[in-house]
Parts: sequence; structure tokens; C-alpha cells
Amino acid sequence: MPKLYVFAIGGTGSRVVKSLTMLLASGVSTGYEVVPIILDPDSSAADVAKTEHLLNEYRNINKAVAPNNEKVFFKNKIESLGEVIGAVGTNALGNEFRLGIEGLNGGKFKDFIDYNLLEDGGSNQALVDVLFSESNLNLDLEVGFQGNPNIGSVVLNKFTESDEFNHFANSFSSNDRIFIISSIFGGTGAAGFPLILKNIRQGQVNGKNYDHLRNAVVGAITVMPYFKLDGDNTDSIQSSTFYSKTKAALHYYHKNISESRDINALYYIADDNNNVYKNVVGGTGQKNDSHFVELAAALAIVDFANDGSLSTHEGNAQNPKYKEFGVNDLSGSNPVITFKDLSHETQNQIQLNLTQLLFFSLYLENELKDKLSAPFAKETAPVIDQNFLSSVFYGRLLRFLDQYRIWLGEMKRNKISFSPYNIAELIDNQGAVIGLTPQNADLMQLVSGFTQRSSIFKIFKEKSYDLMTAALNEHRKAKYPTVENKLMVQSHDATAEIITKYLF
Amino acid sequence: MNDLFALFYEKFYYETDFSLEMFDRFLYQKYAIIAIISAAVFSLVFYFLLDRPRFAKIGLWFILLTVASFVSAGYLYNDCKSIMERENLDFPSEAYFGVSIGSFVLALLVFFILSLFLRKLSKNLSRTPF
Amino acid sequence: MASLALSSGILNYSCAPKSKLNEKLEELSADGRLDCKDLEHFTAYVQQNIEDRSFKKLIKDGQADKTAIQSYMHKNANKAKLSIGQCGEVKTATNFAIYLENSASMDGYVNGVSNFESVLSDIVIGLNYHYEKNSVKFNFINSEIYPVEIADVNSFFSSLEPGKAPFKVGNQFVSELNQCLEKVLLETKDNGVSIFVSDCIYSLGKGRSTQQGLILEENMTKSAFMQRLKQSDLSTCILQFTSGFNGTYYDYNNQKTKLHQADRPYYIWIIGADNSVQNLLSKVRFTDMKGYQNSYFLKGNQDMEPPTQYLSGTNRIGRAVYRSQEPNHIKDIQFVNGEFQYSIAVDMSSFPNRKSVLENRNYVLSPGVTLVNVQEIPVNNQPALIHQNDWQRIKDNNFTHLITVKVNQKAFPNELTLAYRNAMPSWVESSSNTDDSAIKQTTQQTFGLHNLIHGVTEAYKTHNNNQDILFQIKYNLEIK
Repeated sequence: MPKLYVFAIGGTGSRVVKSLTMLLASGVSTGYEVVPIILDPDSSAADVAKTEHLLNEYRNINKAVAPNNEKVFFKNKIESLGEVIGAVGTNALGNEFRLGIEGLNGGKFKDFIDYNLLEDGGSNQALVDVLFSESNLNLDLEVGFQGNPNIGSVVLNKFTESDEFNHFANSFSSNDRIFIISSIFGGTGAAGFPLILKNIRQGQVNGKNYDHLRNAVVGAITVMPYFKLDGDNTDSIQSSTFYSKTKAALHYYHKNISESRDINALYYIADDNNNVYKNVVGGTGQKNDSHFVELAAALAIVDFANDGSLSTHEGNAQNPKYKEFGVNDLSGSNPVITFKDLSHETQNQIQLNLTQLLFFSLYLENELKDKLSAPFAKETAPVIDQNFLSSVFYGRLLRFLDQYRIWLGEMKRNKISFSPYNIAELIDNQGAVIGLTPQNADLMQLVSGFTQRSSIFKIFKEKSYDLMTAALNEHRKAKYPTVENKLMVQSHDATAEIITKYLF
Repeated sequence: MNDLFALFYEKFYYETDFSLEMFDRFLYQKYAIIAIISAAVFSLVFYFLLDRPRFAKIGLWFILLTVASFVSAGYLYNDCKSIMERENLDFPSEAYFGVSIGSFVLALLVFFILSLFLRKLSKNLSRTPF
Repeated sequence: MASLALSSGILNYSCAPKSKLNEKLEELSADGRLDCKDLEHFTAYVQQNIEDRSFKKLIKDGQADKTAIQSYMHKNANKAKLSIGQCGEVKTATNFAIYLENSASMDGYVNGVSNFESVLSDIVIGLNYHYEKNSVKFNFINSEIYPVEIADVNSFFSSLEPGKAPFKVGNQFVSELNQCLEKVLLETKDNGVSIFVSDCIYSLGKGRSTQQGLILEENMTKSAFMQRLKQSDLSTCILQFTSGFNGTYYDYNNQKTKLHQADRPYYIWIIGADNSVQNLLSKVRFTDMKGYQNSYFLKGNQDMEPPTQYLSGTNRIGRAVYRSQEPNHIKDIQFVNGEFQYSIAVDMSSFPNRKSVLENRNYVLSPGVTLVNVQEIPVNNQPALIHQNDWQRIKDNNFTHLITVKVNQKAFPNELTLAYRNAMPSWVESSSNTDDSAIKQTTQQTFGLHNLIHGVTEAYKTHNNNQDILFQIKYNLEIK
């Protein structure tokens, strides 16, 4: 299967990759093996760490499920660059999704560029002083570029000279694609995106020619401001500067990307920035609630993967596309997005899948352990029993699904609120979302705007969990290769069945 | 068939007098068939009409088993008594009681055995009672 | 739902299996009656299907068993009116011939007005009532038979007087009992019934001892009956009556004694085909007539098996399994204190010896079997002799007696056979003597009666394969 290399640059990149992971977990399939490559100089950024962790879990779950052609949760394969190359080279890279940047181990920017080695008072030094401010030069690179793309571009150039990039170029084949996620207003992303794109289109890495790379189909999403930061003007990152930076970057992109036809598909997304995040500069504190915009951005990747009309010739994109994302009109005073507010295409992509995964996670939380004697669990091998519930795989799965629910909760709490489900977020005493509870024990009342279709014969209404068990029991005789596969496939089919039968 | 069922019922109660009447009137056969039908009906109801996860409880199965058995036994008691009394035959109530137990046990056994097979055909109850 | 249909079908089937017999019977009773014609048809039907196993219970010795057929019809007639009581055998009108011995020794019975005369009158009246008048003939008999027309029954017999016509006819001084019997037997055809009235006293020839003489007479009687039985079966019913006797009694030495109003026995012999005799006995109640004492019934072609029914609830000790399809089989017997006792209802209406059948000593039992008692079943079982449940089962049949038998666990027989020996009843012995010279002391006895009856008995015994078994009841027994 061809690969889709997703360069996720900076904090936004990680968060979009997180949303993409959730989408893939819900059963969305791109047709490509997704290879996320996270580039973030902030080695301890919380969002990055969370995304990495999530990807690891996903990878393990997907391996255990080992899907074939069936529709199932966690169907799409996700692997790290190291795994891809591992088969080719001598496993030079580890299995991590985040790649380090050589030479970047903290310290000041002036040290990175060996400012001190410049001739004091010489013309080089003078040029550098023009380009970079005093604060720029003294910037501690430990936590990233702090919204300074001029710094970022210098540092990230190093990446393109790295072994990792070399390996990547080696393993890239003609059917593979590339997608780059970046924010236009941040530090890392704004710099990294054009840089990487340029290097790809040059088709030359460390002196070698790579035609496939040169003619690769490349897509990108550039995420424009969708939040504000609190704080005062002593903070190094000011959200008031977001718009001006955006304008500058867009101008640059227009000249150097669009006009040069370097990109096959460019996606834009933005929102009114009515929500205010805590202004934390990098590190473990920089963790923002998930936002709907990230989910929509992830949809861009799916869209890109499914767009068969894209092609590149002689390093030039043929008929490049430029897309934006929209929803139906929302109420001005209380903007809340439910499924009904999305376009039909978006609904078709996510409505069923996300609901399936939610039902699945609630069923596992609340019902499965009581139903180990039910036919679907016990009747055909492999059996779902207490051993399985104590297994490593199951623990992993539950943790993943915890994250899924937290992701939904955060999107609900955020502004603009994505609230397709009638749920209430659970918040700990630090204010972080740690889970959600459905407002009603009945699964069928979970999706906002939809009620259960009633049928004439239902004099006694069955519990929704029982409907789920019944749907699982429908497939009790089928054979599955492993118990993990069994649980996922059965549940996927069962949730699809009851949702389409009773809801939508 | 009457012979076969007579052998069964007479293990529960036998008095030459009474059992002769039962045998001659083919009552053993009749009641055995009623017991079998009762067990069949109730087990079919359970495994096919009540084929939903919320009924997958051994308690419910047990209730239906008991009901089927009591229905069979009760029918026998009343029907047999009224038949004999109509013919001006006088028998002690322990006679009717004794053969009712037979019907009870028969229905119970048939229900149990049918359960073993019918459950394979149901979707949600294939693990009930075990 | 197919299972419901199937099971109701099975239920229907099981409630009353429609055998061919049942169907035929229903066909015949469609007109609401089951009469003699129907009985004939039914019998013929059974006879046609003699090979059919389901007809087994109505077949005996390869022939349609009329008795079983009749009781079957009784049992299964349901709503149809049953009138097969007097069917079949009496097809042609029976002829009745009365032979009154009018030898000198009989004078005493007709002197004046006596029971003797009123009994005779009752007989003729009875015959005339129940049968065709033309079929009843009256005769006097001594050395010859002298038929007499009876103009008016009421006065005929009471007007009989010794020494006068019509009583005085023929040779009154020569009357050999055996000769009379021979004549009567000769006259008794298959469609006739002879009624012979006599004092039944042998007259011995001279020159022999009494004993020798009696033996000689006995042999002659025996021979006479044997000859006749060889031709065709007959039944003989000997009824003993008493009447007042006013007149001369001649003892075995021909010595005369005058008796005045002495009660003397006399005998009425009814001889004819079995069903005719039975029919007569059931119609004309000899036993109700004045002076009736005892009877003794002998039957040719004996050794019948009368209809019996095992009763599961009457007088029972112990337990057993009984199935109607095997009516003579008692299985899985369990003893109580080493004993198993049960009762049988028997239809003994063919054997008019109502008293003798009650006597245990007349029964021959297979080894290991004890006869507890034989009782007559009261009319409508009132007072209750038979257990209510059993009575419900048998009340429409014609069972007359209840026999209770017992077997012992230690000496357990596989077969229970109860045979009734048609032995000479005790009254014969007590009514007999071999010396009637002191007649005034022995007015109640008849000289040589024992030999006479014995002769008849022996004749019948020889005829019946040296057996005097009148009927048998057999049951197969099995222990659990």
C-alpha cells in the first residue's frame, strides 16, 4: 500500500495529527499507510508528547487488530518513518514519530548560528544584526521558536540536511504522497512548511537526485489563527501579532508556492478567535484544549488522500487546487456545531464513524464486563473473557478511548464548541478535561438532534446497551483470526447496524 | 406409545385399579403429549420470541421451565380427575397427584433437552442456561 | 404450528382408537338398535376376518366366539338399544314335550290336590305363555308314550286322579325307569326339549342282591345316555321337588306301605339342546315353583370358558399389572406377606346350578392356588360386593358371580386354573338310600337315587373325555 507522509510541524501539526489519529481510529480509511513525521524543536511540548503517545498506542492497537479488507476501527495503518526505513536501511532511526533536529539541544539562537564565531564588527555580523533582533539572538531555543519564523527557517534548514531526511528521500516511491501541516501564525510551522516544500521540489537531497520526490503529489494545510492568548505584552508571544504575521506569510506563500506551482493541493482553515488560551510558552504547560478546527484540518488530509485527480509533472503541480472549509450558518450568540450544522460531505465523513467509536467506548466502559457470558463473547473462538479484559491490548484500547472521549470533551468546551453529543465534560481540579459522561444512560439519546426511530412493535423499549448486545450477537457465529480482531470487527459492525437502524 | 409412556408414569404412581383405567383410556399417551407440547411451546417462546439480550438470564429460563412443568402437571391433575369422576370412578387424590408428578418431571426433562438444542438456533440466548 | 396440528391429531387418535371392530359395530348400530340380525352380521364379519390379529379377542379355537362377541357388543353398544339376549340359537321354534310317568307308584302324587299337580300346571302355563301353544305337547308314559290333549290347563292337572282317565292310561304296572328314559331320550330331537316327570325309583329284577341290581340299573341308565349323547349334545337338568303323597308306596321288595300326606320327592328332568334348555330355564322359573328343592345340571361338550373379568380393585391383596389387551394375563405381581389375592367376575349364567357353584369343594385348582370363596353378585351390586370402580367397568356385562383366589409366593404357579367339577351334588347322596323298606322313616329319600344320578353323571363324564369339568377359568401369572 502506498504511503502518505504527513509532516506535522509545530504545536498545530501535532494537534491536527491527533485529530487525524482519532478519525482513523473511528474507521476512516485513507487508502494510504500514514507515516506521521512530527517536527517540533520544543522537545517537551505537552501537545507533542500527547500526540506521540497516542500514535504509539494506535500503532500497537492497529497491529493487534491486523485488519484485512473489512471495515473496522483502527483500520488505517500508521507507522513511523523508522519502521518504513527499517526494512530498507539498517534501522538507523528508532520507532519514534518525532524526529530530532540535529544540533538543536537548547541553548541560545546565537549559539546555534555560531554568532560568536563571526568576526566582531565585520560585515557578516552586521548582516546578522540587521536580520535578527537582540531578543532574537538571545532566544532560548529550548522551547521552540516562539513565533519567530525568521529563526525557525534557519534552524529547520538543518533538518533537510539530516540523515533522516536522506532516508526519507530514499524510501519515497512514486505512488506515495506528502502532506504538510503547519500553522501560519506560529513559529515552527510558518517556517518549516515552505522550507520542506522547497527541498522536496528541488528533488535533490545532499547531492543526490530523487525524481520521485520531485514529482511527488504534495498537499498542505496552513492553519490560520483560531485562538487568542491571554496575558500581557511582556509575554514573548502575543496573539495580537497573529494577524499581521498571517498576512506576511500568505503574501510569501502566494509568491513562492502558488505561483511556482509547487503544491498540488493547498487547504486553508481559520476561525474567529473568540477563545482565549492560557499563554504558556512551550514546555509541558503548553497544552491547549482540542479544537474543532484541528478536526476539520485532519479532514483535509483525508480529502487530499482521496483526491485522485492530483499529479505532478517535471516538478510542477498540474491543476493545483486551493480549498477552504465551511459549515452551515451558526447562531451568532451561541455558536455550537452539531452534526446537522456540517455540510453533507462532512457529515458523511464523520457522523457515523465518530458516533460508532463513541458508542463502542461507552459499551466497553459500562457493559462489556457484564456480558462476558453473552453469545457474541463466548460462543465462538476466540472467546472474549476475563483474561482478555485483563490483557495489555485491552488496557491500551481503554486508554486510547479515554483520550478519545477527552478529545470530544475538549472540543465541546472550546470556542467554537463542537458539540454533536449530549455529554457533560468531567473536569479535574486543575481544570483539565478528564473524561465525559453522557447526559442520558440511553445511547440513543446521545446524538444531539437525533432521536431513536420507534417501531410499532416496541411496546417494551429495550435498553440501548441491549440493542448493542443484540447487534453483537447477530455476528456471533462468524470466525475471527484473533480475539482483538473479533472485538473490533464485531463492534464496528454492531455499532454501524444499530446507529443506521435506529438513529440515522 | 401408550406402553412407553405408561412405563414412565407408572414409576411415579402405580395402583392396578387406577393405572388400568389410565392405560385403557390412553391417558398416559395424552398427558405425555401435553407435557411434551407444553415444554416445546414454552421453550420455543423463550428461545425465539424472547430472543433479546435482556432475557439472557438463567432465572428467566428457570421460570419458564417451572411454568411449563406446572402447566403440564396441573392439566393432568384436573383433566384426569374430571374424567374419572365423570365415569363414576373413585380414586384417592394421591393417585392424581402421583401421576401429575410424572407429567411435571417429563415436561421438565423435555424442556431441558429442547433447551440444549434450541439455544443453538437463537441469537441472544445461545448461552442460556449455560 | 404444525406441531400443534400433529399433536391434536395424535390426541384424537389416542382418545379412542377406531378399530375395525368398533367401526363395524357403529355401522350396525347406526339405526339405533343392535338386534339379533346385527349379531349375526357381526358374527359373520368376525368369522370372515378370522386371520386378523385385531379380532383376536373375539375368536376362540379358530371360530367366532359368540359369547365374547355378545359381551363385546354389550360393552361397546353406547347409545344403541341392545336386544341380543335371546338371539341366534333358538332359530327354529322349539318343541316341548312333557312326559309324565303314570305308573302305579305315581298315584300318590295326584291323589287329591297336591303341589305336584300345581307344579305341572305351572309348567304348562309357563310354556304356553313363553312359547308357541302348538309347540307344547303333553304325554303320559309307562311302557309306551300316550299323548294327551289338554283342553283346559287350569283344571286338567287338578282333576287328575288315580285310577281314572286321563291319568289311567296304558300299562300302569309295568314301568321301567330306564325304559322310560330311553324312550324320552329317543324322542328328544335337536329342536326339542323333553320334560320328564317321575319319582325315579328303580325297580330291580329278582334274583340279585340289591347292590348288584342297582349297579345293573345304573349301567343301563349310563348306557342309555351315552348312546343318545353320541348322536348330539344334550343338556340335562334334574330338578328335585317335594309334594304331598297320599297313597301306596311299593318298596324294593314290592312290599306295600300306605302313606298319608307324606312329603315325597319327585323329579323333573329337562333334556334337550343346551341353549333350548337354558332358554327354558331362564323363562320358566322352576326354582320358584312350590316344593322346589335342588337341581343338578349336566352339559355335553363341556369344558367351556365362561366370560370372566379380572377385577383390579375388589378383595385385592398385593399388586399387579393388568392390561386390557391381554385379559388373561396378570403381570408384575407383588406380594404382601407372601400372598397375592384377587377377584374374578364370572358369567355363570349358562350353569343353572346356582347353589353348587358356590361350593368351594366343587372346584379343582391348579397347584399353589387357593380358592377363597365364590359369591353371587347381588343385583346392581346392592349391597356392594364389588368395588365401585370395578363395578363401573363391568356393570353392563352379565357377570353373575365373584370368585376370589389367592396364590402363595412360596409355591408360585405360572398358571392359575380354576376348574369347576360338575360333581354330583351332595343332595343326591342325602336324598338317596339303598333300602326303602322302612319308608315311613325315609319318606324324604328316593331308593337308588344315587345310582341313577351316578349313571347319568358317568355317561356325561365319558362323553366329555372322561372329565367332569363343567367349565374352566385360566389366568397366566407372572411375578415382578
